[in-house]
Amino acid sequence: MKILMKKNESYNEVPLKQFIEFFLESQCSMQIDHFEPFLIACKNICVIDIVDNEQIDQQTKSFKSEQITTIKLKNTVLKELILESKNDQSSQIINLKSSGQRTAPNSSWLVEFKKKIVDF
Amino acid sequence: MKEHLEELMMSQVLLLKVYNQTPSKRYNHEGETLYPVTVAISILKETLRISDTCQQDQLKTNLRKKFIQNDGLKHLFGVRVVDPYCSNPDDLQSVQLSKFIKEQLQNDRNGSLLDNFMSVLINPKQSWVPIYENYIKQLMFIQYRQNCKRESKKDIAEWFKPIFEGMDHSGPAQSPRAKKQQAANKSAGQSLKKNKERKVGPEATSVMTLNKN
Repeated sequence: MKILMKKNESYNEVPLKQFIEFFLESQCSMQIDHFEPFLIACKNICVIDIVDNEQIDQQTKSFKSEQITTIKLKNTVLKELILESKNDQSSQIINLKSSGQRTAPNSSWLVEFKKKIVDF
Repeated sequence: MKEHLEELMMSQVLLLKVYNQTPSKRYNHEGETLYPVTVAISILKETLRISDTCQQDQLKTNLRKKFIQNDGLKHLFGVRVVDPYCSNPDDLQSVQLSKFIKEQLQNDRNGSLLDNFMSVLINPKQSWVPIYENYIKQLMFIQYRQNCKRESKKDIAEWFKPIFEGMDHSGPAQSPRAKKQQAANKSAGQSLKKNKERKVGPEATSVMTLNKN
């Protein structure tokens, strides 16, 4: 599992700027009224990192490297969520089998997120 | 320091007990009229704030628990007995304040001192942390899932299928979180080992390919 998680590690990373903007500026996110506990929560479950981001410069057609600050879930937290998702899927399959429904193919992450927020 | 803070807190609880429902006894302090109960609450509030500034979690919870265990709330409200072992902030929030004391302590300029004290006692900042943790977890995991799907055209369920299958074979006794993690680690190792041994079948090839990459 560690190998698989290591392989997918980059998918866990989000630019810190984007993360902050989403939580503090986006209208669709839950309002962060208590900033201090929000920071504590981030500290508890996330890791901040600096990574090299390589992009092709459209004008010079050469690789342009820049360092960006990212935030990601701690490996222990991610592992827990992956294992929990297994249980979620099992129960979803059972529910769908009993109700005779089919899963919606490729629902966008926003739809899924909104659904999760309602549950949350 | 811990002992001194506890002593200070207990002396104020005693003061609350002695002066409970006795607002007529008052004294002047720099031109203001303060009730002993009001002073006791102020000191209690500051005591808890001081304990919050200490970076020791044990000290924080102990003071709050000790206040409740020593009938602090009973003396504060005078009417209601709260479970002395109550540690759930939601239970505290549902406590009905004595109307009498609430009226006496209402301060239009600064809001209710009692409410203010209760918010310090309940420590809402602490209770917000797990809520935000859940929220961040949910969002980040959805993002992770979507990134996996977009980049590799595979759902994480497919990536981790061999491990999940290994968990199913290992038996149903996996409900507690710790056991679940332990079992997952074990079964992950087992399934990888099995796949290496077999070297046939679609699951085995997918794991082997991943290992190579």
